[in-house]
Formats: sequence, C-alpha cells, structure tokens
Amino acid sequence: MTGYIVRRIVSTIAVMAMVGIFVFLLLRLAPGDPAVMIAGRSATEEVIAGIREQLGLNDPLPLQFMRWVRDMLGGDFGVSIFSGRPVLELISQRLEPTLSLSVLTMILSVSVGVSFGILAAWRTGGLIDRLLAAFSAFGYSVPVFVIGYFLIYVFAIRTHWLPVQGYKPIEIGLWPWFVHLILPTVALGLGYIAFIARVTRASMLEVLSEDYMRTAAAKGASSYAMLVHHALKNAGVPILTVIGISFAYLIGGVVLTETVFNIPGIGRLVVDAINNRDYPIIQSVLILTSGLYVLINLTVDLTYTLIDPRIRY
Amino acid sequence: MQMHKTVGNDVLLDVRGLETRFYGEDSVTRALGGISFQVKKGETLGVVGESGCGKSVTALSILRLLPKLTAKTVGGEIRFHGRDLLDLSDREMRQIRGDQIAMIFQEPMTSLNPVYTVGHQIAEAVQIHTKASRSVAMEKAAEMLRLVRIADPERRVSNYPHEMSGGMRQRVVIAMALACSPELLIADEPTTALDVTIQAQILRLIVDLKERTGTAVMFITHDLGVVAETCQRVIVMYAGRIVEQANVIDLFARPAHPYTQGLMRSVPDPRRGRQRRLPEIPGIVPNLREPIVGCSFAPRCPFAIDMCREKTPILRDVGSSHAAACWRAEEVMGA
Repeated sequence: MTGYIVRRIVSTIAVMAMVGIFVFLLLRLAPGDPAVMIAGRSATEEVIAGIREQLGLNDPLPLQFMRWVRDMLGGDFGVSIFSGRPVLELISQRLEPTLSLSVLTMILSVSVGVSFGILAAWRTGGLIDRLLAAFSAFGYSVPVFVIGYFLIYVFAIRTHWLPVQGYKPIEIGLWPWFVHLILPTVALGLGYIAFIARVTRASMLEVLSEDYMRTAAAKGASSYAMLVHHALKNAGVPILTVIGISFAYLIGGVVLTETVFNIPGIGRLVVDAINNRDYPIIQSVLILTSGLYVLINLTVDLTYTLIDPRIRY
Repeated sequence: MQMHKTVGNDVLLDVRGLETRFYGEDSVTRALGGISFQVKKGETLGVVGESGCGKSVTALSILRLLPKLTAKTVGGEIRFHGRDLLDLSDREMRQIRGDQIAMIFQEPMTSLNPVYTVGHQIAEAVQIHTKASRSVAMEKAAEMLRLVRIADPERRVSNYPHEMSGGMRQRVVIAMALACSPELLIADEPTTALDVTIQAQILRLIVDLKERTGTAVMFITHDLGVVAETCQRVIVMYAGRIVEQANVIDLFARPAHPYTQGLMRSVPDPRRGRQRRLPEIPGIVPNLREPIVGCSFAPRCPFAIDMCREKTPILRDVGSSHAAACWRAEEVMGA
C-alpha cells in the first residue's frame, strides 16, 4: 500500500510535468501577443518592446519555462497582466463561489443519481426505470445554459420563488448563500444526475443477478438490505469511478453555469482571462485544476480498497 | 395422487400440484407440470433428474426465490406448518427463509458476497431472525464455523470469501444455512462444483449435521451415487414432472420407470470393468415450451406403446410407498 502510494506520487509528478510543458507551450504558441494586449492597440513599438522585456518574453522558451516552474514551486503564480494583482490572490477571491457550486452539485448529483439508479435497477422496466430513461435522454442532451435560463424563467421570473442571478458569500448567512445556489446547482447537476444514475443502474443490474444476491434472499434479507447492503457495495467501484470523472468534468460545466447565473467564480475569472490573454491566470488555473484532477483520481483509486477487499495495491 | 390423502403429523412440507412457468419473449415454458410430494420431519429426500428437469425450479418455487419478472408459480399449494407458502406476504415469507427453511446452492465460488467477511455473512442470517446483538451473532458465526469443521474459526470469521478455497466456502454456506437451525434444508447440488475428494467431505458433513440437528433435508442432485449414500426416499423428475418416487432401497432394487432405469444404467460401475461404452438414454429432453401429448418420456422409451403416446400417465402405486408414472411400470419392474 505504501509502495503503491509512493509510486502514484512519482507518476503524479511526471504527469504534472507533462501538463506544465503543455500548458506553457499552448499559450506561448497561441496567436496574440500579451504585450500588445497590455499596452493597447494604439501603443508605440517602443512601449510594447519595453513590456516584452519586462515580462521576459524575449528570453528563450526553455528559460521562460524554468523560471515559470521555479516561481510556481515557490508559491508565486505570477501577476495578472491585466489587473497587476497576484494571480493567487485573484484565484482565492473567486474560490468560494466555485467551490460552493461544485460541492453542492456533487452532493445533489451523487445522492439523487445513485438513489435513482438503484430504484431503476430494482424494478427494471418499471415506472421509475422508464422515467430514468426519459430523464437521462433529457439530462444528457439539453445544455446547461438552456436548462439554466428555463429554470430562471420558471422559478425566478414567473414565480419569484428564487433569486434570478448572483451569489451571496457564505458569511452573509447560510440561507441567502443556499437560496442563490439552488438554481445553478440544479441546472449544472441534471446532466451528472443522469450520468451517475445510468451507471448506477447498469452496475446494480449486473450485481443483482449474481448468485450471492440469491443467497442473501434465501437468508431472509429484506429488499432494503439486499439493495443497499449487498448490492450497492459490490456495484460501488464503477459508481465511484464515474463520480470521480464527473467531479473532474465539473469545471467545464461550472464555467457555463457561472456565466448564466452571473456568479463571480473561477470560471468567470478564466473566461475573462482568456478574453484578455492574461497568461498567468490561465496557466495557473490550468495547473491547479490539473493538480486537483490527479488528486481526485488518486483518492478514487485508494477508496476502491475500502469498497472491495479483493482490490489490494 | 392417492398417497397424499393421508397427511400424518410427521409431514413437514406438503407440496401439491405445484405448477411453475417461465415466460419468454413469445413463449411459455412449463417448467413444473403440477408436482406433488412430501418431505417428512427429519428425513432426507433425494430429488434426482438430469439438467433442466425442474429440480432447482422446485426448490426455488418452495422458497419463492424465482426471478420475479420471468417466472411464476401458477398453481398448487406448498403446505408448511399448515400454511400455504404461496399465500404468505413477502414479509412473512422472509421470516421463513433462512430461519425455518434454508438453502444451500450449487456454486460455492459465487454464492458468498465478496465484499463482506464470512463471519459477517453468517452473523447476518442470525441477526435477521433473532434479536441477537452484533457481537453475539459474531460469536454464533464462529461457533457455526467450528460446527462445519473449519479450523481456527475465531480467526476465520474475519476472512473474506476470496481468501478461502471452494470446499471451505461451501462449508461457510452450510454454516450460514444452519445458523438458525432450520427445520428443512434444501441442498441444490451442493457438491457438484467441488473436487471429488472435497465432495465426499461435504457430503459426510451434511449427513453428519443432519443427524445431529434433526433437520429434514431435500437433496437435489443428478448423481445417483450421492442419493444412495445420503437419502432415505427419492423422487425422480423428468421434464417438469415426478416420474417415480420410492424408498432408496426399492428404487435401486426395482426401478419402476424406464427413465430411472436408464439413469441407473448410465452410472459407471467399476465392478463391471471397462465398459465398451456407457449406455445412454437415446433422444433428447422434450421442449417444455410446447404442450406434450401422452407420456413425456415416450419418444425415448424402449417400452413405449401406442397408449403412452396418447394418454399422460399419472403417478400410481406400484408397491408399498413406491409409485411411478408409467403405464407399463409392472413390465418395467419385471424387465
């Protein structure tokens, strides 16, 4: 187990190095000159050249890369070209809304998705199962911004039950924070609910036909004990895998959702940074999210051992 | 069906006219065509027949463990303690399963849940049917493991199934089935999937435990050797019906159904030395999706006459507590 973790950490470093090179090159080789962006289109050649010199953009690429990596390892993610403030500070200011939305979405998707999938598998071909089939077709195919605006129209504009847009920090109060997050969470979560429910259903169906389920029934186990106790834990590995994948994919959805609901989170920060060619922000967010993905993957892989005693590293 | 008129107090399970069907896309399989038999208290009843004859379906029908969507028991009664199991609610049925009627399955490698320890799984059976606490149930689990002769039971309770051999797992399954001292144990080919040496051990264990606990056993097998070793009475099934029932001695001495005779001839007998070829029963098992006219065995039967192909024979007495469903049973016994 310890050996496995050490191996995983070593491979994580390798993965992050690859990501680092990729992120670095991607933005260096992309069209558009950051010096021009900072200086403005009407600036003279001399001003632009001065900025290039100041940012070190004239140095050879390997040198720029080494400097960039060294600074990051020291906790210095650079300064925003556009606003002139440290990137880490900008990110941490935007972290709370994004984290709130992501965590609530995952709680909603996992709890509803897994329960939905179990019930559908329990009565295959029944009402819940057919409902799930219809729902998942809907959840997969309708994009977040369509669902988002539809939800806003119905629950905010027509009925006034929920706020239209915006975000309230958690320190203002749990309730205002929560109320503002309901619609974004539902809009973002529908697709993940569908995804997790489908996989849960498939995984459960496979397990329900196993011999040991009949053994459990022959013991006199109740339907609940059969489903939750005997089946779910066996079906757990694939379910856990898709939960991990969902969490990793969440960032993409978060960007859209934050735009639709006007939430000042990381997603919005990145979109603005891309528009402004604010390299340090884009790079830092990419690196940090990649690191997060790798961490989630590792956690998921280690959690397998808790679910299935046959998995040992 | 004359032999079922008198139901004594020694009858534990009384199955009458049990009829189970499987429903496919556009076909109905008559897996059980109305079978009747009894299991007496403390006896070992053998149920013999080839694959697909309805042995396992009989067991699953009794415990109501058939797949809900595709199978249904459409007729008959299963009397247990004066109540028809087919009339019970799901909840009442759960209280009987594992407590009064327990079952052992064929595949020890797959019939234990891989993600729980064997102790946990035995304790679960105890906790479902008694108010025992977790720790008491775990002690009971260790005690059961000792009963099925697993060495070092205190340590073994915390093993997972994949840490045990097939024979050990089958012992665990037996321990689990016997944990609540059932009155009836249904053993569905419990030794088929095991090595020959392990088979003998498991058989001896079941016979031994049966003696000690007084549990009645319904022993489902296709192996006549197992029947001869373990059972007092035997029913022989063919194509979803009982074709013969008798005491084990009578059955082997004077088989009254041509199918039973065929089964016995196809058992290898070392005393006869190397045989040219093991006699087999010619033909194939009838398709139960189509209605069968006359005796279902007639197409494969060396004794068949016109009457056999026209009228379905009913189970009738051919000796004391010996019955066969064959128009020509007397000739068959004399042959």
